[in-house]
Amino acid sequence: MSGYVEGVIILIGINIIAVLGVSILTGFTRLFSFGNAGFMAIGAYASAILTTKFNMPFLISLLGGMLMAALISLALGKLTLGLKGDYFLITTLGFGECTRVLIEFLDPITGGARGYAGIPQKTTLLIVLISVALAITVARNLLNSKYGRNLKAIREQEIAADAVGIDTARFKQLSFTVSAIYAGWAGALFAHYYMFITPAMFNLDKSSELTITVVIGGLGSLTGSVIATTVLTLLPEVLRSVANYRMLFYGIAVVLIITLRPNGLMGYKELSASWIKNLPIQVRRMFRCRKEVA
Amino acid sequence: MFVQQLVNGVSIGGIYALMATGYALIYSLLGFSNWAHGDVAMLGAYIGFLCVAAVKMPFWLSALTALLGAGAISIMNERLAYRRIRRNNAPTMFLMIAAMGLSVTFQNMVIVFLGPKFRTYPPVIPVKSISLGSIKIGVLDMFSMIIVIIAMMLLELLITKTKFGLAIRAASSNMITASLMGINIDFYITLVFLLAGSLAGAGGVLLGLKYTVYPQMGNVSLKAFIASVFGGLGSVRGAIVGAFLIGIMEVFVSGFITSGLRDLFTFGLLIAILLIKPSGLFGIDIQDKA
Amino acid sequence: MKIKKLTGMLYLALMLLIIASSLSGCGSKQAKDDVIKIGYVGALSGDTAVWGQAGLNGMKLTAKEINEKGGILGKKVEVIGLDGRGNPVDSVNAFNKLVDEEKVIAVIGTNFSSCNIAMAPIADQKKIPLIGTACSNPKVTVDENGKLHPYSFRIGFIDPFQGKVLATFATNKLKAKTAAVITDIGSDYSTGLTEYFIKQFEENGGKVLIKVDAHSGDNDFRAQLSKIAPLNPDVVLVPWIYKDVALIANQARELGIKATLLGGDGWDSKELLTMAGPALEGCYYTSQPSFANPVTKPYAEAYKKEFGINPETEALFGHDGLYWIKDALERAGKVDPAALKDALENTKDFKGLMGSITVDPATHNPTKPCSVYQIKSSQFEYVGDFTP
Repeated sequence: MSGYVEGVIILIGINIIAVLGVSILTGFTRLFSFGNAGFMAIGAYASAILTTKFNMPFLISLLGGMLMAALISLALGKLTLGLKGDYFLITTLGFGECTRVLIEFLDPITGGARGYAGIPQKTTLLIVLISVALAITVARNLLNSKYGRNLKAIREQEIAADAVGIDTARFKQLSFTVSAIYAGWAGALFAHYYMFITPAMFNLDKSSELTITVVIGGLGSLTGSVIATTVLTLLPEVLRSVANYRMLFYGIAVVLIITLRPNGLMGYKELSASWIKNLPIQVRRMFRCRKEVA
Repeated sequence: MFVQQLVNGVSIGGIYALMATGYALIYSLLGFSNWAHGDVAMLGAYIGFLCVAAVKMPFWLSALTALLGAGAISIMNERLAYRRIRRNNAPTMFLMIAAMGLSVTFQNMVIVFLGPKFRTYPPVIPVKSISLGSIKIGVLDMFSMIIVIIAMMLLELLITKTKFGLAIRAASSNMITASLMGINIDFYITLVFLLAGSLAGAGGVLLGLKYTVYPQMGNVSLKAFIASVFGGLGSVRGAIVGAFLIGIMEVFVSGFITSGLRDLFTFGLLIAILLIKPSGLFGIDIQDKA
Repeated sequence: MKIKKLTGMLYLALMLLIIASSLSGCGSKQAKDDVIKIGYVGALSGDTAVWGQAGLNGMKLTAKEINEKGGILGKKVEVIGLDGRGNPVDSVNAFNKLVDEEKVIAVIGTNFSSCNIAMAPIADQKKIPLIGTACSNPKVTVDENGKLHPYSFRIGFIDPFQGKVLATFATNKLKAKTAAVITDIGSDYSTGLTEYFIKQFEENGGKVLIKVDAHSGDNDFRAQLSKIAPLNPDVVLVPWIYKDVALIANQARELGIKATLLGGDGWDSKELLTMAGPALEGCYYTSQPSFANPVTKPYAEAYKKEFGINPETEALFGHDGLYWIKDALERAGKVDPAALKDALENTKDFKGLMGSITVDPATHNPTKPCSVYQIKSSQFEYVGDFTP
């Protein structure tokens, strides 16, 4: 496998983890947030600083990045999760922008707008694959557990959920924090693959791209999120000529999906046994294509 | 210096106000934040620019076309996207997502078809300033301030004194009851989108005149959105006050502290206000639909 | 059922990764022996596409010219451009693809320091020379700890150099005693230039009265400029991209700032003149040697004939970069990335359209002069070449 293909797969893997975080938050708890790029930035910078300035092993830095994101999400959630939809959205958006502004401002620690260079390359294909498997497993188990059912209850009817005794505040916080941990995780992997991070990489556009991916994959479907991430990350690589129109298509797709088929391509459905049965055919078809081309 | 900064702040706040009122109008009626609002302003600025630069229309006619064009685009948004979502009885979040999608679509449409270049209006109003002692006030700023004040006054009259205003106020307090009382809700929603769109178009043209025209210029509406949250979502008066407050505060933070932390102050204050008075300065507590 | 679903998800993820690898592997090509492939990474889309497109066009035109004259070492040159979208991640992906799939032996680009800082360690890893164009941050060729990136080069000068030239020009030619600076703290370019300008200006005995910060995209800089106005400095450094320069210039004049504005190569676009020509009358900026120099005329005309538009300076980088590679390969005598790297490193007095390049082996930075331009009656006027 060439370095380029490996790089693309690693990028897909990292994106999957970040998108799953948004999927849990937006798709399953119906909290619309623009702050996940901010949590990615926190994970990326925290882990990078741990690795380079404190000479920590990669695993510790990775966990450090996730922990940092979790702690900040706890504090932020405490302040803002009680707010209503629009107000919550604007505060997460503000959080994302403030994170970026602060990183730029704290030049001596973070390298400011010039970015943080000289991070050793620790993220390998294997680490990413393990991370993706772990992220998917944890997300699935969480959503199928009692917690997950409560989250879905909040999604469907917050007031009713409250009335039957679900501690909505606590579950929203749980969802928010898990989402932030995923973002921090993705950020830390990202920093240790590209070896260089700048605050501009984690801007508002990144947050909207994550949300767009979740919507296209279908709100409330992890499978959909995984597929959408893969396709949307690959598209500009395979068809570089469409890159110019990429964002235009995404925008149109989001409007069409949310108006016509708001549950997205997979909406509320996950992959099941019958899907797997068809898998060999799919794969064979794939390989046939490959041989023809080669 | 203090007075000069105040003048700067008021002139920025004026433009925020034009955009913030549009947000407030739509929020008061539909209970969601129309993210695409800033991009409607951007499209208005482009329409005006193309009329002046390519079609060579006189400026006043171009500005009028921009206003109407932006209004039409705003109505189109409502007809094609928002209305269908409302009919589905979908959660408010879907409206916000649709608005985000429209925003991405419009920005990239302009990038693809008109290019990402920065454009400037031909000098309609000269880059000059009037000195009052040591204070300098731009001619353009005075012009745009007059436009802002006229627009705000008309809006206030429209809402408080006309049948249209009464209908909107009725619909925003309870849409179902209002429709039972014989108010054609869809018609009034369309009118509100026209109004909000035209205001955004005016804001866009003024922004274009003062600064430059480019695909991402609509992002300034983020500040207008904060302003309307500040003043209380859904309150037009609150939005105007919020807009001027934000404009002045931004200038003061940039001028007297450091502009590196300007957005931090803006958002910090926003969170503080929401914690103390969650419905904003002038907001009425409306039950969330989600 | 639950477990089945879970394994299903994992299968799916795996399957997608396989599809990914097969799809992106589909384009893999064999290197042909009679063709020398050179890659170009630049922003071919997005708001800085003007420069990326110009760079790629310039290279294609130059490749045509070289091929008509017999190619390099008897082999034809092929230029492959990929879009880096002006952001580090896409640039790294594009670089990887050029090297791994297209089998290029060298890559030219980009004009963004952040992209090149991200690509430089990968160029070292893959042992493929990377020649940056207008990227001016010192860290493009030398890493955080002062260690050289052996495979990273550049054609343009660096921020410290530009900052120094501007400061010395202000002291010696403009006889400026006091200066003010307005910096874009969201931009590595702007903060870098500011830092080195202030250092040199103070060394020259000048006084920097104030440094104010702002962000690109703010559009309104009057809050910051109002702080500068009452201090009445001799010069104001405006190290921004042309769009913001135009806004800053207009607003500065509106607030009664009469100082001469100074800037770097971010000013270098004809758009600036239509946006703020009168406000910038008599102001100076430094830039990479550009089309103002008469020796570039035949190339500019050929470019205009080929593509129907006026070339941007980035086209000159494409031109000089490709000829520089040709020169180095011919000195090396063979087509091999490692030999090319050594030859590039030992370049002495290579004559390009942008002046001659001599590489400093310790930093891989070229020594070359910096051109100063003045804006006169809404036109750029070439003042001359300067060294600090």
